[in-house]
Amino acid sequence: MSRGAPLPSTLTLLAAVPLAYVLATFYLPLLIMLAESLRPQGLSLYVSVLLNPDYTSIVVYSLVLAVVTTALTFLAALPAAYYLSFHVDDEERKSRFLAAFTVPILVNFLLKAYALMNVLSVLGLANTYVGMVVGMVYEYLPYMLLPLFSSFERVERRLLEAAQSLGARSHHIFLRVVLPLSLPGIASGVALVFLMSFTEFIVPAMLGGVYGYTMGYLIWDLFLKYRNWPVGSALAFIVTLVSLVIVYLYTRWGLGYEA
Amino acid sequence: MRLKALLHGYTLLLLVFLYIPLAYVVMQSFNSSRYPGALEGFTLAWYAKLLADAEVIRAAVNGLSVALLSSAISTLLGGVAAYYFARKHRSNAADSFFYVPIVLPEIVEAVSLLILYYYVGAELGFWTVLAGHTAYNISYAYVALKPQFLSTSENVEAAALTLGAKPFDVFIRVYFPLAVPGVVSSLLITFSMSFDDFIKTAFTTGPGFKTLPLVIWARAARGRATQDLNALATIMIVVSLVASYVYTKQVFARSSRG
Amino acid sequence: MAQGVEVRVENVSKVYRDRGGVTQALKGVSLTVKKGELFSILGPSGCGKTTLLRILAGLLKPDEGRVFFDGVDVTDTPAYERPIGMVFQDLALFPHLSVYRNVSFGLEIAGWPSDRIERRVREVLQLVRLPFEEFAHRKISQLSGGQQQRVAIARALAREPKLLLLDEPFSHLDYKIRIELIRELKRLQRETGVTTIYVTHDRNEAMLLSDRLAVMKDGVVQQVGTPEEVYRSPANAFVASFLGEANIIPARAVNGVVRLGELEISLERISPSLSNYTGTVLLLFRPESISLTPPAGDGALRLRAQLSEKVFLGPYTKLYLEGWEDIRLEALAPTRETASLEPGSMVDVYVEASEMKVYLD
Repeated sequence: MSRGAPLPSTLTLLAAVPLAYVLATFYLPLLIMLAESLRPQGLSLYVSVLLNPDYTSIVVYSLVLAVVTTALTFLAALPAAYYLSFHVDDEERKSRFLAAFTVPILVNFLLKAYALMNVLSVLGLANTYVGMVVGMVYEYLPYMLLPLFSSFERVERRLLEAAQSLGARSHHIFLRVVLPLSLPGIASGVALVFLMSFTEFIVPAMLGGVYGYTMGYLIWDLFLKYRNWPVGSALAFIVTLVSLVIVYLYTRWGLGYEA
Repeated sequence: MRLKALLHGYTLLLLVFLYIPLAYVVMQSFNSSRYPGALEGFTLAWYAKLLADAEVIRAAVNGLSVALLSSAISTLLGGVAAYYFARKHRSNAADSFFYVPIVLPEIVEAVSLLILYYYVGAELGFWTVLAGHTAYNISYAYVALKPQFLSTSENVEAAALTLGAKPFDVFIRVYFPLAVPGVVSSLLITFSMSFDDFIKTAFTTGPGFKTLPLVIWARAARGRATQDLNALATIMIVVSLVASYVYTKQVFARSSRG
Repeated sequence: MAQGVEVRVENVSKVYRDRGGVTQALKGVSLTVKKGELFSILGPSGCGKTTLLRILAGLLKPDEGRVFFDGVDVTDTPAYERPIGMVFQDLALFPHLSVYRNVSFGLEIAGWPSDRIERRVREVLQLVRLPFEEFAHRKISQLSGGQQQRVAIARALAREPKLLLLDEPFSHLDYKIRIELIRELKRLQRETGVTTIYVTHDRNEAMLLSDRLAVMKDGVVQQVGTPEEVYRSPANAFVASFLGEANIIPARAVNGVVRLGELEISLERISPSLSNYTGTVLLLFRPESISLTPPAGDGALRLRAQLSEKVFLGPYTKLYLEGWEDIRLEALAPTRETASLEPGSMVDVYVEASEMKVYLD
């Protein structure tokens, strides 16, 4: 417990500015978007959207893509994260490796998708489902690797030694000690990647060709091509709800792990 | 130990997989062949073509100005919020408040901003793009700066007071120097996020105001890669990688300093 | 070197209000610390000692009461205007500054010329036994815990404060280093003559260091005195058991007399008003007061008990005695005297009346 001096009132006033700004430019628009979706028909719009196979098929398609992406990204990142955490002893090497994996995060999706497009067309995978999935995994790999790595790092090495002294072999240790203890990190990575891949627009649009019509693309079109704002808003709002639920579940279950 | 060797090899392969497409683009941008493919010769012609391309230059300037302004404003505002809430001892509500914009899918944010602007009657262009970027960036700045402020122990401030420093001195001599790495990180992230942003910009921009990602999108939409586009992409990739490298070094330097 | 101030605390109270409710951290605390004294405030966590220290530093304002330095009321003076130096529990060294800049911080603020600053930094680093050439330009993170501690002390002393305040500064260090630093601190204090107030929950530290100490519990000062006074004549059972091991025995007083075995103790010795007291009291004596040989004279209690356990501690051995009045007693005796005793056997032990303290329950 701290008994510091009270915060000066000028600071409080200043801090109110970013709060107000984010409120006005982020939270308020979401409410307006909700209102927009209810404007013409109220809730019955949602019903008709959810019953419309044109829309729901795309939603399901995106869900499937998200699941596939998340699973593959997880499988791809897991061995690398495990190797980095448990088999690299030198701290310097570890952080250099980590940096190498993390640096591409700041290169934006569009650029990476474009770069991949170059390579995929050489390989003949441009505009295919497989190519698109490869692109998704490519984009999301660092986002899965980081939380996995961090949670592996947090597993106390002494526990592994204790397990060994009790007769456990490597695979026992991994399944019974490491994996359960790193669930928060796994949950974090999985939730993040799932959420992002469900609404992803850029990668399917650039790499998927005819296979690239996902939720993201649908919303894009509804707003910029078909100008059907109410339906677009409704779908966007559904996406918002899903995101908030996932985040809520994850913070409760994953113990609010902070990267 | 065989497992270790296998994992080692796999990890290296994965790294290669991550960087090959980027390296390929960079290589091709210097390739004198008309279309990306087999290497024919070294040339800077594509870069020259870029420099002569008015649309590209204008888009670059647009993107830079939005990114610079947005990163400065958001670091300042986000920093103030981070400082304030770091000193309060229960800030979970504030943390969530600033965390949600990061978590929510970009397309939702883009769409909601568009609707807002429509109903407010705002003219789409530089200012609407800037406003949208800043909203998002404040959250990034907050998240980047708050841990920095938290880790400065309160007793460090108290120590300065007991050594005769008045509160203003404390801020200048203790808090501010300690915050510099965080501020630099925040500026780098928010700049990158803004400069590279595509979806929000696409939705909130008006006729004539393009940024580089929008230009790339428009030209790549044909589904074919071209050499001048590769040159443009190379420039952007290099800028991002440099910024990212600086940022990552900072983060790791800070954590190893304990 | 600077002389210290006399510190007087008058009736200081402090209340905290937070989500959990209202806590009274200090209740009407009054104390005087003499010029140049090394004074400890000893107590369990939550007793208010850190709060008191922060009020003395000027980092907190009391809700009631006043604080005086050499007779001058400083209660409303902020920390940066008081002639103090403070060492914190977590050290709070400036991570972005070198050893030199940490130590010179207060001097730079005071506007000293740089040559004077350098002289003083050299002086004070020598005082804490950190060679200037080797340490001055190092970063804080490159130092060991003990070295960082010395820098923290040097920083606090650089401004030649009249009052040095330390808040459990050594609690996170290894035992050996702690003892070493405590001795150093005592030496430093003697050399500089600065009034020093040291807060701790460790009785050994307090007794090693202090000229005088105050024992606190729940925001109230229980007793003030030299270590020997407080140890030998504790004001109540809490102080007694906080300062050392103690055997505490409930007994019944009838008309001002407590009978224990063949021994009679009259309560008049504590206070004349108790000469006719009837009720429960607590008897207290230290393990080392139990003797294995009958004392001369006849003012001693004789007990017969079973030796249940013998613990060898080097020069001394601890004996656990059971069976007397259903109480387990602890005795501490020189090992050579206990060599012949076997666990399980019955032994006769003695306690002189003068070694016993009686308290009302």
